[in-house]
Amino acid sequence: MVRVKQRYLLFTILYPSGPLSTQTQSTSSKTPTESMKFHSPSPQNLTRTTLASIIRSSISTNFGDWGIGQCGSFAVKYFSPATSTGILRITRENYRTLWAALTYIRELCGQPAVIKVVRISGTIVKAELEAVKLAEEAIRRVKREVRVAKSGGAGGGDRKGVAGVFSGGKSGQPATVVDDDEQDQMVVDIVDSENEDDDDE
Amino acid sequence: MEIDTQPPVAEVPTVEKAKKKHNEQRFTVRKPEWQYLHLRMNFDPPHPPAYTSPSYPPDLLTWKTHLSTALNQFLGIAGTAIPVDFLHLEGPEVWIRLPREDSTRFIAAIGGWGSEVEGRNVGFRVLGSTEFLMGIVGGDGSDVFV
Repeated sequence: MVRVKQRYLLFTILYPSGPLSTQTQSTSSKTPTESMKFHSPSPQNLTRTTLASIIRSSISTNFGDWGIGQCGSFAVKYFSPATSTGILRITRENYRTLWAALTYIRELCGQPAVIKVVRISGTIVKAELEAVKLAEEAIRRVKREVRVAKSGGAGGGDRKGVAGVFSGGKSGQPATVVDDDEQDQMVVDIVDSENEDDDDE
Repeated sequence: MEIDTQPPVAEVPTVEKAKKKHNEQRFTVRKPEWQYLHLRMNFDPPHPPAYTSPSYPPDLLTWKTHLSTALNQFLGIAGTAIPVDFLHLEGPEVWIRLPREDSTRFIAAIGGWGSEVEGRNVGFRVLGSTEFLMGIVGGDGSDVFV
């Protein structure tokens, strides 16, 4: 008896043009940092089923009937609109075709979007662990950006925020960050609550 | 400049000598770059013999259009990206050249395709598929070296 081997693709959706204006206001009263805009939550009407149909149509246009036959049997195992992160399952032989189809997707729900495959894994547990790690990193990055923006002054906040992302990535700061500032704490609370939503699902 | 007055034939060693003098060199072309196909466009019901019209026999643009449609249906954009060179057009038949790695997919795509044009069913038939052009030119190839 031969087991059917699977691959799990962990992906995140990036929105280069930022979220729609209505969603920005509902998420937080403060102006979002650069990376928050980039990793913004997905639109409400993007669910597991709609995402699956979008991916399927991408496979169809790029790889035709053959592509659908090969990797039309993928499954969206998990998708969280809050973090724009999801997990796909596909047979091991065809994960590259599916990956290519994901890469060729240019917009979701009328919004320019890029789907980035973060990790390929043989078990769903490893993919989930990576998703948690990814969310933690996002929180740390936002906290760092906020601190840099505050120290640089309110005027040039955005620029410093971007610079903070790059400098932070290079220096590889330690994982634990101690918050002295009360406002910092507030931002953290907001992001943490988002993360809890993610865990609940 | 010195002119070699010796006839060239005299310098060519006999086969036996050549084998002794230099070790015999042989090589096999294992993975040629191209695959050559001989295709025919089939019409059903068939055209009467010696029939011609603006749409028959099909021209190269018609060929390209139909092949692209077939490839797009079966392989999507990835299929239309296969580079096809038309070498020769003769009546409803054509010789084409494409990368060898793509030939399997290509034949599968065009073989399973059908459409209706001007009340006739159109399809492709693969008359020949070879890695060397000689395979579809036909004959033993001796006439090429005349």
